Amino acid sequence: MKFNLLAWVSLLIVVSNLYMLITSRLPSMIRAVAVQGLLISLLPLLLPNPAAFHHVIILVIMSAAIKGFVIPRYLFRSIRDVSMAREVNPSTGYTLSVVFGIFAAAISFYVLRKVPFYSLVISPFHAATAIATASIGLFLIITRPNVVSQVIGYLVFENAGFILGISVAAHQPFLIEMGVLLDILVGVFIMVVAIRYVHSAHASLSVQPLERLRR
Amino acid sequence: MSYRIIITLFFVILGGAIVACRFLRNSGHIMAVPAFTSGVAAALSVLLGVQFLHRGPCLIFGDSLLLDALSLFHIFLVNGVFLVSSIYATGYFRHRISDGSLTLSYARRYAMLWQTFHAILILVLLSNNIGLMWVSIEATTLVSAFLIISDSDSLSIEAMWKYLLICSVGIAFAFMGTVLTVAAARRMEGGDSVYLFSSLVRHPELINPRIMLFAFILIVVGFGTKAGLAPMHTWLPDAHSQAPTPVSALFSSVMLNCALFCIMRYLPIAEGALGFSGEASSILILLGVLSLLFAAIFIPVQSDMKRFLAYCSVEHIGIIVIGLALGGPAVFAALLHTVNHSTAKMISFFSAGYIGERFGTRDMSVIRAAVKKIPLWGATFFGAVLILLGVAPGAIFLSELLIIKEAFLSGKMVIVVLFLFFTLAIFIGSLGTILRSMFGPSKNDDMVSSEKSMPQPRRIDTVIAVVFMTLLILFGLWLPDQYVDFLKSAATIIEQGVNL
Repeated sequence: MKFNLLAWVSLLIVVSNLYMLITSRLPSMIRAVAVQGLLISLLPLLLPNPAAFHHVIILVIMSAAIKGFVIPRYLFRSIRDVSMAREVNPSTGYTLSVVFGIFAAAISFYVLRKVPFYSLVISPFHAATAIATASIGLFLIITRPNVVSQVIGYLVFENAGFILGISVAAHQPFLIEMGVLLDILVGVFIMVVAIRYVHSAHASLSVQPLERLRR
Repeated sequence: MSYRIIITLFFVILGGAIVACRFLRNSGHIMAVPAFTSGVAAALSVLLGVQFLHRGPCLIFGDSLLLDALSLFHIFLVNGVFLVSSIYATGYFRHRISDGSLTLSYARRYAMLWQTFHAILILVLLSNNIGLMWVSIEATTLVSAFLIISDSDSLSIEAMWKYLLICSVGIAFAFMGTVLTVAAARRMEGGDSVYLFSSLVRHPELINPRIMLFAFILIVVGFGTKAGLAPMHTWLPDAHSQAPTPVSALFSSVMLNCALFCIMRYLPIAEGALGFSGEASSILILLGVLSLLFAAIFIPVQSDMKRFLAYCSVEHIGIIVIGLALGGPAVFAALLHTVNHSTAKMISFFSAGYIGERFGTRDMSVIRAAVKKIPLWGATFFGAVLILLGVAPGAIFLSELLIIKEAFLSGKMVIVVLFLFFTLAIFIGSLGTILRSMFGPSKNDDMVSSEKSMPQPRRIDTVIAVVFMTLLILFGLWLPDQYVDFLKSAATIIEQGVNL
């Protein structure tokens, strides 16, 4: 029963990734990353692990609060404060993005069988989701010419690390995950402050003006 | 005793941040705080060294922190560079302080970030817990990003954004490597010991070699991004060139080394798990040679002095990594190269900062006769760059020679050939530009007026330039025995791990 639920949650995480690839609006992307954060927060409850129950509960509450509410709220505030166009305008088309997303999700199962940590994986479906999420996070950073969507790409990539952490290192207490959560929180705060600097200097959230330093 | 010194060290540095931000209202006084606290920190690190001589390596605060020859070596380097750079910064910013263009809020932000950056770098170097090391190296990125912004100009903001995003993503790779290291060591018993370098390195037989190799690749990519290893170095030339000069010196002379330090901690664990087969080292050799290649392509086409120096960092970090990977005496040479590169780079950034200010540009295709017009900084820049390019009898020539000798003796002729080819290409490709900007006939009379308006260098700046240039030449000819012994004991830790 537990593994069925785990498979459904993993599937929803992949769907949230695909949604981020097709949406053209920043608020929708932020909502999708919030939903993904909440789904990932559930994973420690669904995976068999030897950690004390209260440790698991603390991790679930902390990650749900930080990934599901605090960071998305902060990102919403950042785009509201600079009151700029909320279109993403990706450098690759939406169709190509979705094709990449589906390809990444499909191939991640194949890649998973080849990686050395396959023997440690508790649920293949879950670990394949981590690989797909990592590649989609990097894809978002590279193809979305907008500082806010790049931060979202970074968050998606960090989510992949989080999934991997609770998947292959579940025999350990969630010490690293706790530290990482706080670090991501601070990281996003700093990035949002940086977004304001970028906006004040260029009156835009696009990264195109940020291409003057070359070679 | 060691823990008291370390608490005092953090207390002084972070206390300095609070004093600068809350209690001082004069920009000049605020800028002097880092110089004062770095002086105290340098004295405390000497005390820590004395303590280390008596007690040897030890765990501190339970087993979270580790003081051994390798961490002590890097702490000396960090505190030394912070001390000299903060003294230089008081002179670098003095014109802006006197004409009022340096605002109180900027001075406070600068001092607070500088101090916090210093404290976190020391925490990275003392970390025995792999999670703590990851969190603190990520924190160095977050803290130092805003040090790059000088006047909120668009170029420095662009450099800051690239630095923040690329390094954060890189360090996220390192996080995956950290997680996989824990996964690889799952057969180890004893609760938190899988998080500790001191435990991991003692039980290589309990670590899954294939997973550890995969983890090590992610660690090298992750921390290598922060260290400026090619091809993940793209943030480095922008950040180094746009940051205020004292910050560029810090980035190049200590931050890159601290990121490399993280790789140094993982190297004996990965090599041990893989039965010292050299697989982990071959990854480092690949990235080291790639860094030399990228440097050989990009250094000769640089006209901006600070971008030129930034690409020199890519070259020298590549050389250090090759030394680490070769093992044996080359590891000692790599550590020697670390000190030599940091010293030469710090001094050359200082000179570039003043030359840029005098000429109103850092473009070497425009600057002419710098040695004649600004004798102290022109000659220092020229001398330091020659040493960076590996000219004898500079200290860098010696450390490069030791590394290449080891590659030759171990029969790695491909590395020898590529090393010589790339370093020679860099030397030949860049010497012309340097010579023209330092000695070429002056072609723009407009610059003379701006030059005359600049005050004479301070006595302390002259002392810094002369002392460090002398050391860079002296250590190319002779190395004190105690210095060699200390570096050798640090090199042993990189090869075999710490023996508590």
